[in-house]
Amino acid sequence: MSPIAQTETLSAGQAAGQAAGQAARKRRLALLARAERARLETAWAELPQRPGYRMLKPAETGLVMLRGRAGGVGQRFNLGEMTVSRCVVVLDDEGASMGVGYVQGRDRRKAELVALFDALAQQDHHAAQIERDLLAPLEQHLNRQRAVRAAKVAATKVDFFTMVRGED
Amino acid sequence: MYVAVKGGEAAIENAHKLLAEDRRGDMALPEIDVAQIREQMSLAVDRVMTEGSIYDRDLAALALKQARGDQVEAIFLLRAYRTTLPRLGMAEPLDTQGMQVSRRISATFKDLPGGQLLGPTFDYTHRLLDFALQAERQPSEAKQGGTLPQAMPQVVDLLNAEGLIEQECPDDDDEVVGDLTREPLMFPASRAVRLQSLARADEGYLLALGYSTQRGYAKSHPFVGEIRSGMVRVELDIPELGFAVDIGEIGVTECQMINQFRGSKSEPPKFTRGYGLSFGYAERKAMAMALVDRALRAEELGEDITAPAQDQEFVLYHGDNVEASGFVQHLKLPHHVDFQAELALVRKMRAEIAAGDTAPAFEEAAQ
Amino acid sequence: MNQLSSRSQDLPISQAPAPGFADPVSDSQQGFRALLDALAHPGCIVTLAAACGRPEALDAAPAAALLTLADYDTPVWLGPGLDDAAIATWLRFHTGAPLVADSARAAIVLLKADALPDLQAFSLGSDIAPEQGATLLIQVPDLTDETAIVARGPGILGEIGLPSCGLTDAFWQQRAALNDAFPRGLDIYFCAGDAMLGLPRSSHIGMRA
Repeated sequence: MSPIAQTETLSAGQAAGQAAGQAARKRRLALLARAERARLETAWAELPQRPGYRMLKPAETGLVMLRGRAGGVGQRFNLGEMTVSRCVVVLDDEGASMGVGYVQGRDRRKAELVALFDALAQQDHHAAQIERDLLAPLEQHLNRQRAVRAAKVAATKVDFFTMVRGED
Repeated sequence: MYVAVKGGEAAIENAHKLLAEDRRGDMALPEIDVAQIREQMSLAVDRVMTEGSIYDRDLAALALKQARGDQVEAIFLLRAYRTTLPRLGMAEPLDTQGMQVSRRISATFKDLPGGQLLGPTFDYTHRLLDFALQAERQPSEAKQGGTLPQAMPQVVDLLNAEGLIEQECPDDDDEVVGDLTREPLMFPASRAVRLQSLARADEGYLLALGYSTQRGYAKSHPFVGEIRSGMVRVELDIPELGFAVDIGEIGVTECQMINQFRGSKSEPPKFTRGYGLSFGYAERKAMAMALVDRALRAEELGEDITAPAQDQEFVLYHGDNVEASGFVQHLKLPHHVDFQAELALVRKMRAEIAAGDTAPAFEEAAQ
Repeated sequence: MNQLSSRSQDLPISQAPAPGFADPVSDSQQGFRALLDALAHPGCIVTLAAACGRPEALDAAPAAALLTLADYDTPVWLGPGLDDAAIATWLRFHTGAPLVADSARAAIVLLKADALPDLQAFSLGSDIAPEQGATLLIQVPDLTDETAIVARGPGILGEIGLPSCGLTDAFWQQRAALNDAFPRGLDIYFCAGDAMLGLPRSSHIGMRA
């Protein structure tokens, strides 16, 4: 990749900041990808001011190949594909933040909304509100769902006990 | 010789209308909704997704509705649909150890860490028809009790302190992973290509082949090391970002089969492994796949190839039900001219036999 | 084997790249039609009409051809003089095509007339899989000069004269040496501005008698 790898040297502080930013973005995108479209649509409609934006990559639906590993941990193999929709937007305002949306399924509007919230969340004056009104409640909801499911599965755990045998 | 024959157009159009009417059934009953199929026929959906090779519950449910419940037809619809979509990327390998399990059992290790979790299994039902389901009723809510650990390491590796079970080793990230959707099947097929082919293969076919290995057509002597089923995260490298992001979850079922291996000149006796992975909750499929995966490793392990399930060409060339169904069902298409030729030949042979002159026509037929 | 491990290809696209097709579906359909016509009529000049955004160093025709042909499954090799970050980012963003360091693994090759490597550097495909022969997009100064080079073969009535395209004799000799490799070979588009001229692998190159 010599022709295009233009690695900039980062100071330790910059690198740490970048890692934290990356982790926050991963969490944000994972949560948004799991949100119902209607929830995102409502959150978008309820924003005090909605910025203008343009599509850098119009929303499209395609396939992503999913892979497994032999034995769960061994060599990779192609298992089958999954529908994925994606979209890249740029906000019109001075920050011109670029937002990306990659979501499971064929809902292109949802990919667009995820990209919009991803872009908005990069702006300080929106970040706190999005966290409070959208991301935190989503996370709580998902955690609750997971916990309930786990508790139902845990209730099917087998408690082995050994019967007293007949010989003395 | 091909002879173009026209005239079926109106008949075909009317056949489509009749098909649509029959699919709908009794109009006095409410029409079944795709979402209902997705939720209440979920194992049919899982099979269609696995063999149709697309994870999309709504698409698979729609295919089932359109196909009147015919699974192989629904699988065909899904395969046809996938050709209309571009490929956006390759996901990171699924981390099945990070699965949020719905079920996790081992037939080899009773006291596995985390315990035997039965989950929503048919196994202990009495297989008596439940006539109560004829009436609408809500099931009582499943009981909750306890928590599950965040991650569940593989039982097979966890309990392999003695090293009696072979280890699976990851391949190099730069290595090319064969992909049947891009390159035709070639022999000998790599394990990666074999596993992809088996994942797409017809469940009934794999079940029969797996069963044959248990009955002695390939001595594999299998044990279920572990079966787990549940949700795994899908991580995809996002080119616009330069790092991988979790973009959702899918349901999968995984089977680790452990098989006896008598050893070879270079290797002491040990246990070997077969692997099965399917979309959704498709345990029978994953188990059968693991049995056949192990059988197909015969050559690699230096075993004699004596049974159909060990024969790569036989197994992999005949497992795809879209291909198989296409070739079998093409026999319905007009073969009027071919058959006329055969008719003429048979008449000629009979005439020759009647005339007391048998040899020439049989020779001709044999050619 | 054109397949790649995608990992090494991924570069973060922090700056917005130049735009691509304004209307991706219909523009790429038009582009595809023009590319087909060019190969079906070797030696004839075809115009790629679809307007598209492009990096500065790239002419309109090769840019539209790349947006039409390249996708996730087509490894691209950027030749000397066109291997800059602007083109790489633009191409990756709009097509998702992986960029390869090894020219022999490329399905599509982007080249400049004044910095042309030996044709040996590219995949001719095999007799079993001739479709794996590379497609070359060569950006040339113009397509108008007259030479003694002629092409014969499918799509050509008799023979047709070819421009030199500013390419050296060595290039034309190398191309002529591939005449007998068919069905293996290279499909070449010479591009200047929004015009292009196709030379499929089935065309037999010779000199006017």
